[in-house]
Formats: sequence, C-alpha cells, structure tokens
Amino acid sequence: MEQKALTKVGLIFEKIDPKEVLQKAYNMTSNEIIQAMLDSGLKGRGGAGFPTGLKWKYTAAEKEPEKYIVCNADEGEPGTFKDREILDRVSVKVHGGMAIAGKAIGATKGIVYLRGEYRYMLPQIMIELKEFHKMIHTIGFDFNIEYRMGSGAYICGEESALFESIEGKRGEPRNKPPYPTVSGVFGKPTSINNVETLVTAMMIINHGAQKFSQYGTKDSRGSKVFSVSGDTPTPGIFELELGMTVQQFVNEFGDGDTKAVQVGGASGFCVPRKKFAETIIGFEGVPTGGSMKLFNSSRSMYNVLHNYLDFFAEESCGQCTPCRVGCQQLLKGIERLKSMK
Amino acid sequence: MINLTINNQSVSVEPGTTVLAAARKLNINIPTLCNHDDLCVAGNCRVCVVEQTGARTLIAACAMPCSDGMDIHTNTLKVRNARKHVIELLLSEHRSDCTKCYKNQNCELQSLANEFAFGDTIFLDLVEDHNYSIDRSSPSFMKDDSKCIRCQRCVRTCDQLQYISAIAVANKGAHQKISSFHNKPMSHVVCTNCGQCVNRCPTGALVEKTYIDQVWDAIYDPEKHVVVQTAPAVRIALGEDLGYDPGERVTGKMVNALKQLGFDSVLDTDFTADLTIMEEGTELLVRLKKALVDGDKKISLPMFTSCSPGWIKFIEHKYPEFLPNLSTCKSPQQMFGALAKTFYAQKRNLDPSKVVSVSIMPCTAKKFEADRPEMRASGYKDVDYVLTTRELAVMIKQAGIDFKNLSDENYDSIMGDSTGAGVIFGATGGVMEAALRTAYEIVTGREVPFKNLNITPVRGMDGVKEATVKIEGCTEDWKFLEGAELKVAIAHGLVNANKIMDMVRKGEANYHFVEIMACPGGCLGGGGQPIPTNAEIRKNRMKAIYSEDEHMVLRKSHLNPEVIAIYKDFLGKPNSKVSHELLHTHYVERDHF
Amino acid sequence: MKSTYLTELTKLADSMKIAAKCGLGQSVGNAFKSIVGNFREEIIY
Repeated sequence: MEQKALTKVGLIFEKIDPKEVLQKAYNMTSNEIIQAMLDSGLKGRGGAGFPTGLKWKYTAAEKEPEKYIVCNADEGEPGTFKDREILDRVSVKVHGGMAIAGKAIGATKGIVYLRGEYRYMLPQIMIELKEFHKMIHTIGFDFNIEYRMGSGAYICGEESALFESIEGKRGEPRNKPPYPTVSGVFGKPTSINNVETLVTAMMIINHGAQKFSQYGTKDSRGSKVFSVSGDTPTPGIFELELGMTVQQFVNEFGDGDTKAVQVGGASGFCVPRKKFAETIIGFEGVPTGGSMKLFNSSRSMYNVLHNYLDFFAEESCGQCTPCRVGCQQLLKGIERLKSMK
Repeated sequence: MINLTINNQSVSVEPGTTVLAAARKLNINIPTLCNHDDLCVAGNCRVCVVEQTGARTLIAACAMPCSDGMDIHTNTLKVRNARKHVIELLLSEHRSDCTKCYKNQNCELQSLANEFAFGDTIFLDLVEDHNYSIDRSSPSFMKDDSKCIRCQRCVRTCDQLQYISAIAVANKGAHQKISSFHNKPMSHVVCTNCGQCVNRCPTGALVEKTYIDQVWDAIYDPEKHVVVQTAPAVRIALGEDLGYDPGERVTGKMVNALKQLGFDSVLDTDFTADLTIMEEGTELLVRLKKALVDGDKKISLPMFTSCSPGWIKFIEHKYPEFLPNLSTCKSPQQMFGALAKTFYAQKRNLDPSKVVSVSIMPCTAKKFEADRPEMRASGYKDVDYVLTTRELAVMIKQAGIDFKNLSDENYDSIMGDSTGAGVIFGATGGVMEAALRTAYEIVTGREVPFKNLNITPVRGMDGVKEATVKIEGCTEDWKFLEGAELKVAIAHGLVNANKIMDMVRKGEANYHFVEIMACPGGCLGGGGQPIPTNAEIRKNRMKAIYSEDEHMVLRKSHLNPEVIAIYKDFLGKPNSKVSHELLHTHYVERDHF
Repeated sequence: MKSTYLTELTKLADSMKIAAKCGLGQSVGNAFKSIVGNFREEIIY
C-alpha cells in the first residue's frame, strides 16, 4: 500500500493575501472551481470524507434558485480542536472558502453553525466578518455569511441534525434521501462543508489542484490538520501530510510507551500497538476528522471504552432505537462484565 | 414508473413510493412500529429495516423511496438479527407488565415480541434506571413513560393532526422522553384531551383513564338508578372491538348489551343532539337578526359550534379572543346530563342524588368536559362517568355477553328518541347538515333544497369544507333574511380548525356559521374509538353514519317527538330561561403552553 | 459466561452499525468493536 513519511506541512495557516485569492476565484467559472476541487482529490475534512468537488457539483446541478453554503463548525468529536484554532487564526480563509463554494454552486447565502462552547470567539469573528464582507463585495461577490450558534449537542454536528437546529427545531438527523445537495437547510439545496475543508478549498484555488494533490496518497490526497492529545509530550495542532502509518505518528508524538491510538475520536477506531506499523492514517486505513488520542500503558482500555460509551449514551439524540437503547446496553453491559463472576 | 425487486419478485411503482409500500403491493409483510398511515414518515424505530443489495447499511423500508434497479431483501439473516435486536432493545426500556396492562392483547410492541418469539434476552432492564411516575393529572388519559418506546407517534399526532404540540421530545440520549412543556402535568398544559395520541400509541404509554369499575359499582348499587347515554359515533364503531369489520352498524345490539350490563335506562345522546339543533339553530338565527337587522356591533360572527370539547379547549387556549363566537350551547352529552338529573328524574319520580349518569362516548375529551366546574347545572355532577367506546367493549367482554348473537333492542323512552339529524353529529359536517335541515325550514317553512335531505357539500373528508345556502321564500317572521346567502364552513382535525381560525383572525373569512370537530373525520374518528384508526377505517365509519341516517324514519331534529314534548312540558321554547340555566354554558381563557 | 456475553454485546454493536439512522449512531460500533477486539482481556477482567 502507498505510504508516505510523516511530513509537517504549513498550508492551512500560511499567510496569504485573501483578496488576491478571492479575486482569482471570482474570475473563474463555476465549472472551473468545481473541476479544481475534483482534480485536487479533496475529501471532506470533517471525518466522513465525501469528495468536496462532487458535493459542489451535485449542489450546483440543482435547479432551485435559492441555495446555501453551510459551514459545519460544530466541532464536537471528543479530541478534536482544530476548527477552533483555524477559526481563531484564519477565519478569513473559512469565510473565503464559503464565498468560493457559493460561487461554485450558485449560492448567495452562507451560514456558519458554530459550536456553542465557542461562543467566546464570536465578537472577534464578527469584526473579521465585517471586513470580509466589505472585501468580497468590492470584488463583486454577491454573498453574505451569518452565524448560528449550537447549544451543546454532539448530534448537531451531523449534517441533517445541524440543519434542523438552524431551522430552530430539535437537532435530530433526518432520513436520507433526500441528501443535503437536494434538500438541505430550509429544504433548499445545500453544500455543507467542514471548516477545514473550506480553508483547504481556498488554498487549492490559491496554489492550484496540483500543489495539493502532490501530497498524500491515492485515496487520501493532501495534508490535513490533526488534533493531538492524550499521553504525548507535544499535544496540539499539527498539519501533516496524509498517508503516514500510525507507527510513524507515534514515533513523532508518542511518549515512548504508547499502547494504543484512538483515531477519529469516540466514533473512530482504536489502533493497538501491534497494528501501528500496518495501519495507514487516511481513508484507506483509519480515517479521521483530526482527532488523535494517544494512550500509554498506564491507561485502562476499559476506562477508555467506558468513557466513550458514557459519552454516547448521553449524546445520542435518542431518536432511533439502536443508538438510544443500544448505547445504554453497551455501557451497562461492560459494567456488568466487571461485576460478573 | 420505477422498477425494483423485493425478495426476487419484480414490482413497478410510482416515483416517491416507499420500499414499505412497494412490499405491501407484493403482499410482503415488513413489520413496522413508528410508522402510522395518518402521520409523516419518522424512520426512527428501525423495526422495518431491510437489506438493499450493495448498500453499506440496512435501510428503513418506511422512509426509503424506491429507486430503479433496487434489489431488496426483507428476511436475510442480517435483517433478522438487526430487527430482533431492535425489538429486544425496545423491550428493555419498556415496562413489560403485560398481564396487568390495559393494552394487553392490543399492543403493537407485544405483537412484535410475540412474532419474534423471544426467549431469554441478554439485555438489561433499563426501566429501573429511571424514576418514572405515571401522569394521572388529566381526567381523560394517563401518560406512563415507563411504557413509552419513543416512537413519537403521539408527538407527530399532536403536531401534524392537531396543531397543538402539547407533547414534544425533550432531553437526549438515555434521558430522552416525550414531555409536556417543562414536564408540567398534562392537566396544566395546552393539551385538549382529544386522545388522538391515545388512539395511535402502539403501547400502553398513553391510555384513557378508565372508569369501568366505578360504573360497575354504580350498577350493582341497589340505591342507584343508572342511566346511560350513547353518542352517535359509538354505534358505528363499537363492533370493531367485538369482531366486526369497520363500518358495521350495531345500534340494536349495543342497546341490548347495555341493558344486559344492568343499566336501568338506556338512552340516546342523539336526543340531545336534536335538542342542540333547536337551541343552537335558534341562537344562530337570533345572532343573525341582531347583527344584520338591529346592527348590534357586539354580536360575534361567525358563530362556532360547541359540541366538541377538544375544540373548546383548543380555542380556550389558542384563540381566547374568539370565545364570544362560540355557541353558548352545551354539548349534547352535557345537555343530556343536565336533563337526566332534572327533567328525567322528575318524570321518573327519582331523587336526583340517586341518579348516576353515565355516557358512552367516542371521545376522551368528554371525560374532561364532564369534569368541568361549569357542568353542574342540575346541582350535581351532570354526567358522573364517561366511558369510551373501547371501555364499553371491555365491559361487554367482562360480562361474557355473546355480542354477535344479540337481538336488536330499542332505546328506552324519555330521552331515547332521535332522528337522523342527531345521528349524523358523529361525522364531520353532520352538525352543520342537521342545523341547516332545521334552520332552513324554520325560516322558510320549506325543506332544505337538497335531494333527499342530503346536504352533500358539507359531507366528506376534506379538511376544510365551505358551502353557501341561499335563503329564499322566508316566512313573515324571517323576512330580514330573504335573499341572504348563509356562508358556512366545516373543519375537522384541529390542524384544519387552526386554518379557519387563522383566516378568521386575519379577517379573511366571512362565514356566518362554522362547525368544528377536534378529531379527524369528526367524532367517528374520536380518541375514544377502537384502535387502530386510519383513513380507510374512518371512511367506512362515515358510510355507516349516513346509512344510519337514511334508515331513520325521522331525519329532522325539530320533528323529534320527545324534543317537541320537552319544550312543551319543561323548557318552554328554545333559548328560554330554563334552557339557558340547564343547556347553555360559558367558557374560560386558558394559558398557552 | 463473560466471554459469551461480550460476544453478544459485539453482535449488538454490529447491528447498531447497520441499523442506526444516522452516521454517528452507526459509528458507535467502531470504537466498541476496535477496543473490545484489540483489548478483550482488559474489558473482561
């Protein structure tokens, strides 16, 4: 399997002239923007990994005149904190990505759904957003962004539950189909993208698809931002090329005694030491929205699992039976195992 | 058309058809639970999951639209395992005290459990984790969260059919529940007690509050004289709980059964339905005269009917500024109750304190209505106990009566006579039709100009119906109405009532008289009617109602001989002082949460 | 006994992966199965 060395990359946070990039995007046609995304091989950075170019293509194809770009900033997966950093440092790129996406699909409205716990960032972002609107309107974009706050429910990071929440309803996932590209927020065709995806899209417009796709592997193009936490001497945010093995990752970030790595948060996969070398971080191996949690040998994996199940039993929206009751049964089930003779 | 295969059988369906509907076309049964024909798709119980070749996960048959080339399998090992898990999970959060449960043998979860023939389960009982208590605050129904499986049928019913949302989903995860506003008692929220949720709850989480034992006690009390009245819509639905198909008229058998149960007198709400027409019809004509001739600005039009206690509570909560528009007439049940302990007691030489008045209703809101403080005009509680159609069926079964082989019996006299106009109160549009049959004749001296007295424009299942009746050839007393066009509207289901109220509030409606029934189809679709309910069943019940009307000798309320007699002997004339004391009432504004 | 029970719980996790309504519900089984699968002894004892 194709494999890459652990390489630190500096594209997401690099200094750019946003106006220049947006001017460039403005001069491109919708098809050219979408083609650039398709060429780059960019897959969604929230975790699910749907090809961004396809999502934009499908939404662009819808005849409905009113469409939406929604930025999913409800960063709730345990162990992820990259979107916070991105919004804190380069919100202009998030907004820029939305404007570019709007241009691609034919939307004039953008909504950022911001995690409730990040409300403290809002005053600063609002100042930056005002500047941003001024800038893009000078260029000629017909695009406006507004912010909607989440209220602390994990499930609202699920795209259709997020739409429900924006619409003022209880955040519960919808049946699919119809998919958001056909019927998203307010029943209108919607492209919903993760914060990092939008920033990456702007970066692709800036540097070209080639520059992005030279990084990574066939199934996992480019680089992405990781949130590293747990038993590591160097926790934090790191932009890394995709395609490394867990072993390479542990070599860089581990404390020398790493027993397991939870890739992708509570909803992701646990990779044990014996599989470090053979497991690639990416869509061909273990996909991740960025959460990388390291556990050393002092950690009880029972406690880890208990913690995750406790989380799910609490954060399941409760709508469907398997999740609502299943999570409780799994949680109580492993507790029962402890007390069984 | 879309072509797909289900269990290797080909089927063609219209675009938009769900996999579930396609399977039904092939007579392939896919079990469901949260799905209900009257409600939007939820797709949340996951009992109906099936396998689609090539799909990563199973799909919910109720929520998935068919697409070309789909290859569906409904009974693979994967499906069976998942479905069994889902049902077992539901059982683990459900208090399974089936033998003690009111819904025993009439519970969809129980049926599913039965089909899957479970033995031991590995799942732990989750009921004890919660501090459940039963909400008995409403006189109409009880809410027992320990039996709730969160299918949200009740939530969708309350929202989509009734536009109330007295209950909604609260909290998440293990704590998710169906809750009233801030978990207040159901008696303190906007709930209308219509019982539509009770009618659709697949388990025993929502059931009517039953008064069967109290009624038995009264029957067996030698001191008490127990009269029973039966609402129009009971006779065309009771059979469903006793082995008949929907739409069977069982009036005579029902009367016989009630006599065998030991009621001292079996009487008919249809009698007071006819009386209602006299009172309400007169009230309408008086309002029209005051408004149109005297130019009295204080007169509120349109006038709304007041027979449906669910509707009354709805307007009290949601449109209190229109309370003056409500007819002041009590509902037929309450007119009957007030007369039972006055007129009837006098006639029969009974001490009213010894008269127990029971009513059999298609309705749960009637239990609330009977409890209203306004409903004590006789000096006693006018109606002591209200039983639903379902409760009557239970009593008949308890008594070991072979219902199907009963002979037909007639109602007893004094408040037992009725006309076809009284019967059709049980269907949406019926009160309007009965009122028009009588009012038109009062005003013109001639029958309403509709073939065979069937005023078809006000009939049927359309949510909102409108009609205009031109009044021509008035008698001397009513000349002021000559040439007038009486504009009427009818709504059933509170979501439709709300549409009319919205128009009225905005000043976009110019009706004179509006009939509103809280339940879909009118009383025949009431919350106290046999379970299940759906459009087809309600259609059959409606046919039966109109057939009952056609079979009556008298079909106009003012021709009811006992109605004529009661005005002569007791009430004087419609809207008289005695009428106002006993048969009319007032309403109260209520909170809106 | 413990082992059989854990196997049954794993089967439940499998059902959740294919029967839950949304992607998040479907992914609960990931963590459960990968932790139980790789650290079974820590969960049982």
